[in-house]
Amino acid sequence: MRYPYKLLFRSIVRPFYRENLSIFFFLFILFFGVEGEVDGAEIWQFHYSLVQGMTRQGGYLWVVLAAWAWYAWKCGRFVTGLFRRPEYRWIAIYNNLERGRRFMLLLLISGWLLLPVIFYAMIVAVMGLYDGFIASVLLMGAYLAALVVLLAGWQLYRLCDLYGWSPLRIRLPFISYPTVLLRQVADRQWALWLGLKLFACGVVYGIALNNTDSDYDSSFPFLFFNFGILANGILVYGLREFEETYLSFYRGAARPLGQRLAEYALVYFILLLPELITVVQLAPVHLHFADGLLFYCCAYGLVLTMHTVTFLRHFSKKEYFLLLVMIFSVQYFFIAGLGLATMGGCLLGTAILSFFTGYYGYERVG
Amino acid sequence: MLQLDDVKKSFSGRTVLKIPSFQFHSGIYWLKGPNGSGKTTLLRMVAGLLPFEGNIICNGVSLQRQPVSYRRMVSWAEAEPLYPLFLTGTELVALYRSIRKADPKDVDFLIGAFGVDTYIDSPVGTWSAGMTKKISLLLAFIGMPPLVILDEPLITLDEKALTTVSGLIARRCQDPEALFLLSSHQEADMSLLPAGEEVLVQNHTLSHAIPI
Repeated sequence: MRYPYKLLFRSIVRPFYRENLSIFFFLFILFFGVEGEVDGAEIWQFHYSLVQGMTRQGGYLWVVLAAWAWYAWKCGRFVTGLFRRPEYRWIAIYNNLERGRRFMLLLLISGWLLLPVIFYAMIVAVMGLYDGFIASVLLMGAYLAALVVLLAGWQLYRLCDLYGWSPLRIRLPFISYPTVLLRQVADRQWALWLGLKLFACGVVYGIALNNTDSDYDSSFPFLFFNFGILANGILVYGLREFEETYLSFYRGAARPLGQRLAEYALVYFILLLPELITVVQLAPVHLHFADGLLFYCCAYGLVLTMHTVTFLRHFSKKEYFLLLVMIFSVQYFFIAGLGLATMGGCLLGTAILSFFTGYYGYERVG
Repeated sequence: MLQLDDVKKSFSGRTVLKIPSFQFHSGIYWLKGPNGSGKTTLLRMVAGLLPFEGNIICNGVSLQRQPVSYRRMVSWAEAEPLYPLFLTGTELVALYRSIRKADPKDVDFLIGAFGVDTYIDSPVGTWSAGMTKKISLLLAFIGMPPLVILDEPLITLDEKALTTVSGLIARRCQDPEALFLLSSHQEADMSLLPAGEEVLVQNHTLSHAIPI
């Protein structure tokens, strides 16, 4: 069992955490980094109240259970994606093992994949037991065990049927480069996209709703909104990886640079439509028209910049992630002093400049 | 005609290719050389997929100075092609046809010639390596540009498909402007493809060899 397990661990678990490192970091910052205090409470008190909300079996518990299911589903999608890759064809060798043994191996792998959830659930369980909410703790434990088993079962199913695959079938009457990129998001990254939209739009909507004519502040909503947009870097990086792997032929197509940039601009305009709609919904009462326009321009410029800077050189995921942190730091100076109009202009300018200087000189390393 | 002037390519400071000057006239050229000699790198550079130092000129059009016009004259098929798994062959063909502004009749002819009509409507994710290779070669012939680059066209293809490729190359070579750059490190089955001039890729540069 040792080597088959080790190989599976290295082939599934490690790539999973490498791939999702930025998401975990984003979530960590979201829960622990953005605000030191929430409604006057210390951060640990805030989390304690969250745990209490769960264990008291209100609607919040079901939201959390749904989030765990979503996470398990994302793990399943990740494994399916891995099994589809040509370099993972060798994994079919595991089908020579007995079914029970395969399942046990995949059960262990599922445990590793769901580790962040299991870890969090354990903390919740300890606190729940301390407060005497035994039924809730048992429910969570059973639910989590079911998720682990289901995930292992799904992996086993995919392993037994490596070549049986049906993609999300979206039929469009025409095909173009932007539609291929958008279909990739729809096929492989829609859950991520949806999560990012829910966060960016939900947070800015929730905060800006407090704005009135007499008590108006746009900087606080922008801070959270901008953070949500910056998190789109995960999506952008995934799209660029997809391009370099599956669409490298397009670099050899006779397309002027301006047209290529316009194609990317169209893709991101569509992907940022929820943000635009949210900003429009908030104007003019909760967000002034001028501020709404600036919010959107900054968001659009930022996403385009996050895409086009990847043509300047090849960034590993870690490097790209550091680059986003740097961009965020630079943005702070704009927010603090130079203003959003200057920031939006600079971001759009950087996006265009990076693209035109970098596109033809780019090559993937490694 | 394809002209290479002072072409240099390095990866992480290591020189892979250093070609002071080389000319490919019309016809068929087989790039030969061991693994890692730089065949694919050279082909990818000529196809406009990799940056390099120096200049590559096709029929008087410079890749560095007129990148769009140059790319209009070149098509490329990878050794081990990868396409988005959710796209169907029909969609790939439509994308290439729109890029190359090709005649639909010519495309239909290619689909028939390669015999891909049985699976062209299915997604790439359901194809075998050989099926994908056939589609990639078909795509390379769409629009019939003057310069066609086929990296390792022999691998994963069955004999029938090789005969088809051979026939299409021979047909295309009736045009005196047509130039084919093909690479291979295989000796077997070469008889199924049209003869051409051999160019050796070794010691980081190119040299003519005896005709095959």
